Amino acid sequence: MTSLIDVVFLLLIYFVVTARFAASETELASGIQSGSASEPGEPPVTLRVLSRDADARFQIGARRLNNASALADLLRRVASDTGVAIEVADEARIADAAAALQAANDARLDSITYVPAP
Amino acid sequence: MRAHQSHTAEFDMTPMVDVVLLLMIFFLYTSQLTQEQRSPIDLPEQPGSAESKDRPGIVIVDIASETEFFVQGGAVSLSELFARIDEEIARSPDGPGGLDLLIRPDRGTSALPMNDLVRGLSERGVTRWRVATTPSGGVGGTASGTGGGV
Repeated sequence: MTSLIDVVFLLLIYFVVTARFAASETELASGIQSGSASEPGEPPVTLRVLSRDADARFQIGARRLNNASALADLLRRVASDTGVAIEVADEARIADAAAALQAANDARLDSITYVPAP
Repeated sequence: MRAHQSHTAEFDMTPMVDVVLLLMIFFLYTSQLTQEQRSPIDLPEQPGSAESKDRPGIVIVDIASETEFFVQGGAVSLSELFARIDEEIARSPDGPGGLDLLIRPDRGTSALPMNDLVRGLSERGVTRWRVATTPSGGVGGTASGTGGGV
């Protein structure tokens, strides 16, 4: 019995030392505007994620926002059956694009589409 | 005259062995569950909408910088990446619509590489994707791992 306990202890120490707990990862789903799909018109809401050089991070219509929580509040007031196109500038921060995706997901909008800015 | 009785103190090892075995099972189980395929990367800090899990057939693309894409731990150019995605689309029974694509971008990069990727995906008729985030603000993946698999 003693040798068994010794082996089990050694294995336990090995697993405790080598265990590396990965930071949990989450994900945000969105659509991609298909090049072949014919779009009948502009989606009702276009959320622009602006370049890092711009004076604001986000723009909806004429409103320019610098705060992700203000953006989330604004999107929550949009009807849930509305779609949103998130148009991301090439020079925008990835973090801002992710914040826009998060805000749209939190607002539970009908469809979320990621669109690279032209 | 009282008979001399000798008492020898003995530890009961059984509960300790039980606990140790339970700990062993726990560590064995969790070491299997860690996402070994995913490389450490500073993901955007967002709570996300769902926990990211490895699914069969998932295509994981790491974007480490403006020009660095990683698939299965190997650096690939954008054209090589699209060639691999084309292979996956050809293999998928549902075509481009069935592609399960997870993008893991570094939070310090600009959106340019992600936009370049989306432009190519859009041309191929891919309609859905997922972007990995981290709720804790830490580094996603494990240090020992490599990039995900196409």
